[in-house]
Amino acid sequence: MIARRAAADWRLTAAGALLVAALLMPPLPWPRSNYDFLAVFDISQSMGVTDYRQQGRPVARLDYARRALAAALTELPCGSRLGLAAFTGYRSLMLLAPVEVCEHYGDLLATLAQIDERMRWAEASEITKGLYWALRAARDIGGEPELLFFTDGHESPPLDGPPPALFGDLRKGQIHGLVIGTGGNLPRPIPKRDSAGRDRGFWLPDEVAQGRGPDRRNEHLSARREPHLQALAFRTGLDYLRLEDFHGLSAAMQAAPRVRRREVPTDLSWVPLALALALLCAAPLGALIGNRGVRGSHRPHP
Amino acid sequence: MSVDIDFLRPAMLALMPLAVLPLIARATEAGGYPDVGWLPADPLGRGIGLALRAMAALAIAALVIALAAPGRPRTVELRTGRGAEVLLLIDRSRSMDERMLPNDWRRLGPFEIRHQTRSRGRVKSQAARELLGEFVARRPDDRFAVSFFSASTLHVVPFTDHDEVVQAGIAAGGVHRGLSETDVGRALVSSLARFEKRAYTGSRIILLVSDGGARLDRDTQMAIRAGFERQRVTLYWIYLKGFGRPDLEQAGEASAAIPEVALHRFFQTLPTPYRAYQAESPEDLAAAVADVGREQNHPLDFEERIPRSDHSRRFVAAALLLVASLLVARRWELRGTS
Repeated sequence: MIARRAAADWRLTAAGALLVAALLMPPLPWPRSNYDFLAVFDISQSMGVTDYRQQGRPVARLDYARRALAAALTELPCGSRLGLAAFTGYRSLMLLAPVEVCEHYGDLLATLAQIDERMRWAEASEITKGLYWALRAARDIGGEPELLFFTDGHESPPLDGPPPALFGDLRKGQIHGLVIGTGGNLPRPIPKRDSAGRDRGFWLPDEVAQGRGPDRRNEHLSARREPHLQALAFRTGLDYLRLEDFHGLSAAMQAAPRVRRREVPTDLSWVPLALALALLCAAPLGALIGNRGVRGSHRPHP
Repeated sequence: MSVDIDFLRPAMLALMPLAVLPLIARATEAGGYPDVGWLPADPLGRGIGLALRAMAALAIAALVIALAAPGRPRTVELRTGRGAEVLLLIDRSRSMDERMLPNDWRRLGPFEIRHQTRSRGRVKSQAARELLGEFVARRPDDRFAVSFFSASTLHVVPFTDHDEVVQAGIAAGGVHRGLSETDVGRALVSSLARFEKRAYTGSRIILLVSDGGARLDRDTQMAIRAGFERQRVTLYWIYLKGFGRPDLEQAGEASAAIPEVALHRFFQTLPTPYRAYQAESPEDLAAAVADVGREQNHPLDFEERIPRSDHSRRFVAAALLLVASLLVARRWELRGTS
């Protein structure tokens, strides 16, 4: 009897102590999985080709890529970070240093909505150099985020001969991430847009820089140039992904090697709370079970 | 104000039935109580026993609620503060990568200045970014947008009151060298358009940070003038004057051919307030930024985000109180019955 009372007292006291601990404990650093990305969008003209379809409507490559990223963001664990950059001409330009994706989801969408042809500061599309500049940006922004380079691989002017060598200050495999091949298989005409975003028809064969060989006379048409992009990915140590649907991007972004373990201040007060709850429930629960039988026979009933 | 309550871990509420345990476990150990059935009928004792069981039940209920983490969801409230809507329009041309005069340039001889500037002056864009970053940090009531310009205008951060995002936009401007061309006229026209379709909430500012001028054609001039008038925007130009670059206040007809002077004179004809600050050294730049900060403190209606407030601690405290009372009551009861 006395022993049982003492045990009950002990349980109540321990529960009280755990509750005090729960009230006093500060958030503790706790490792959590999340991701760091720098997304770079090709904003050159060929990204305006509408060879994606959504709900029966044609969607331009750039729009589809942005929507896919916006959808993938909602599936990233909080604490993950995303930075944004754009590529045109021969280089990638950092637009937004990485910020946390849950707290700033609205702001990230707002900036994402700005990344289009209105930003275009140069008209060429030297993708190889653009990718190298993107690698530099990922290296220099801090935290070495995984690179997401969205492009159709359409070099303009076309590469005659081998692509430019990797910049001397970059090492293959230093930055990880994905080259994301955007666009369809069939070569399609490239819409011509002025700087205000107005449609001006399509680019004609004699209006664009054509390649030297007779088989390189179709530079006014654009498809996803997969072999080129795969070779680029190999050369830089990145992975290659063909952008076919939102889920594919999200899954590739959350692939195991990209996980970062980061200590985040975490409220762990639920641990002492749960223990206190268990202690409080132990006595009546034990009594209930006891009443039913097992311990019932041993009950010191007078 | 709403009285909404939400739970971070609503699933935990499924544990609520645990709270009836002390009530149904009538036998020996409801809350640690011996069955008093063998004693003479004692209504008071029974009453106390029931009360203690109820307290144990309440303690469990409070703990279950605390585990579910109740709280008031994040809300947005309309407040009136003092502040402004500030669009930071920052030159991202290559000349911004040049250096400013070192802070102690006044003590240097005329021949040393050029050399010293090259070797240890602060890079213009870097000095500007740091000060703008501080400016943003010191003005929590303002809403900021960040745009860069070169040949095109890059509206990187649309108006937001999330300082962290504004800082991320400013910081991005520091990654790698600038672009080759600048078109300040086009940048101003498209920046003015950023205020369109926004409710006029107080004061609007374009803070132009650049190191060069431009002679604008008539059409651009008209578009800019009309934009400032329609959007009622105040213009501040922080002119990062490089070593040996023209002074904005240079008098005379001939100096109208100098792009910087031409731009300054055009700005002076705007229908809305305009001020220019010439900054040659980081010191000047800091003074200019501080000046802008002092001037603009008009009432501004803004939406304040009230973060989620967690109420679980209240329930933990309640549970603690109940547990402590139970302990005290048991001591007292022990004395009473022995």
